[in-house]
Amino acid sequence: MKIGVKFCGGCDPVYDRVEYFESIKEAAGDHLDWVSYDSSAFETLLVINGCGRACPLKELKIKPGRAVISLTNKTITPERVTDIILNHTVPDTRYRS
Amino acid sequence: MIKSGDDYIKSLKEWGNVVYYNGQLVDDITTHQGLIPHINSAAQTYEMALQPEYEDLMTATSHLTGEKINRFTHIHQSPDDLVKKVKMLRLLAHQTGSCFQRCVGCDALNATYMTTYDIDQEHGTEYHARLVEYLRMIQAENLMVAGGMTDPKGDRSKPPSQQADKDVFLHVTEKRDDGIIIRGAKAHQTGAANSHEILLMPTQTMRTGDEDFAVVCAVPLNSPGILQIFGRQTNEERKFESGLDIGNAVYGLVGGETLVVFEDVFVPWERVFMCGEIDFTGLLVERFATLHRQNYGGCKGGVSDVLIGATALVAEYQGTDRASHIRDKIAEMIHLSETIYSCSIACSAMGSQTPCQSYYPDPLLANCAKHNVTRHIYEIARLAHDIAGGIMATMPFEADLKSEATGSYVEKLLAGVAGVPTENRLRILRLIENMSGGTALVESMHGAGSPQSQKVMYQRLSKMDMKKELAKRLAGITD
Repeated sequence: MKIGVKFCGGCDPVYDRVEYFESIKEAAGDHLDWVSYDSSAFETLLVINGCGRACPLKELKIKPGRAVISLTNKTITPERVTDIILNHTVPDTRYRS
Repeated sequence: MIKSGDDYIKSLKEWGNVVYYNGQLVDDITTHQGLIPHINSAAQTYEMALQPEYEDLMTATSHLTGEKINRFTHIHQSPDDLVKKVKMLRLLAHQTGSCFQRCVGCDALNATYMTTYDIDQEHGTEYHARLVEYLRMIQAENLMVAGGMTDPKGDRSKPPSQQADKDVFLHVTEKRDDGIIIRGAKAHQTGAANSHEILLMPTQTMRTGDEDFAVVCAVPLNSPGILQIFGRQTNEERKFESGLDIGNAVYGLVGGETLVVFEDVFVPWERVFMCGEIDFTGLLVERFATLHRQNYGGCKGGVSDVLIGATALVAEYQGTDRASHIRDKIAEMIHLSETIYSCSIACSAMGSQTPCQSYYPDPLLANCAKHNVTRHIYEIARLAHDIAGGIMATMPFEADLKSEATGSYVEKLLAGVAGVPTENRLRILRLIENMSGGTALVESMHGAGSPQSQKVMYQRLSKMDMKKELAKRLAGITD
């Protein structure tokens, strides 16, 4: 399964986004194939925001039928994120603190 | 196209700007210790644009080509672009703890983009088309452009054409079929030593008789006839050392400013964007100043974040962090830093579209942003010094820490709380010293215009007549 990744710009993150993403990748193992947002060749997009403002969400151009998972902190474990992606259960995580 | 920080450094080696440092011609600026820290700072504007976790701020989509470009070569297309520029500057400052120089050229490109459009509308010239072609090249090659505004100015009571030596203002000496010849100088040129190009602009409103001084043009900094003289900085000898005494070992203290001399430099017409149109000089200067003042809450906000972190650490290392007055002072530092940042965000969010379709920050709020910086950075530095303590001004050399004869004394007598190596305490003190004294403060005062220039703008932009009417209405005055 191809998963797109989009980071916010990182102007003032409240946690280490790259470290969190690396732990998600490790938890996902070979189950997920990671591609950049620019490639457009993904089924689900994972947006890793540095804080609750979630700036990229204002500008995303996503084809219909594709899911977007927006993370604004690292309270969801990497294993749970992987589970959400793999099982297509996509809650609206945008506004979780 | 220049992509990475290493590409940029390699390009400078090949570009071959003529730079003098402390009386000596520099053979290769990329290997000269006096310049390396500034080059490292500028290199981050390239390197971070390649990293996915930063590209949303560090890159933009060119409105000319649709390609992804470095944001420092972008013409702002929305208030969001203006906000992202400020956020990008704060981000870069977190990385370098220093000035990274490239914003001046970005502001020069944006100001010139707007103004050439207006000149063409009024005078039927073709400056805007030329500027667009120049911009396409800059975006495609990802070159670093210095913003050349400030002239040395000589006798400030006289206009440029009345100066005893006209070279204190950059001016046109000859117009030919293929281009112009320029002569003069630009002072305080941030990053020019390690830039590829310079976009030259008049430093003030020009009047009748000063038409030769109303010139905007772009010149490669390695052109024949250009030489640069690097400016001294506080503690710059430490750049030639290694180790903890430098404070910020990798990145420059400030931008690294030069006096750029132009001795009969040829500029082809396709690189000339104003030549004699004195009626647009004031507008260009105001636009550049506004765009540049917009920045300071971003970059100085980011630098202040680092300084605040360093100050909080030194309080922990010294065991004073729980004292209420220390916490109060750190809270004040945070307040001042976020105040200047919020000013820069505000002037960006309140930006508006210009006739050429690009976006421009609110000038009154941009001037507030810079004016606050001229005061708050001094206060933030003062609080950092207060909390760090006098040891910042008296601690010994790193060599004393490492020496057999004195090392054990330094280690035990300058230790702070248990568990924190004495070396760490000295390191963070040196960082505070590096970031909060001398040249860094002066740059915050005068960069993008001195405080009086902001006050001049308040008088012009504050709509005082409207304010008086508001007061009269509420006071019941009906004259």
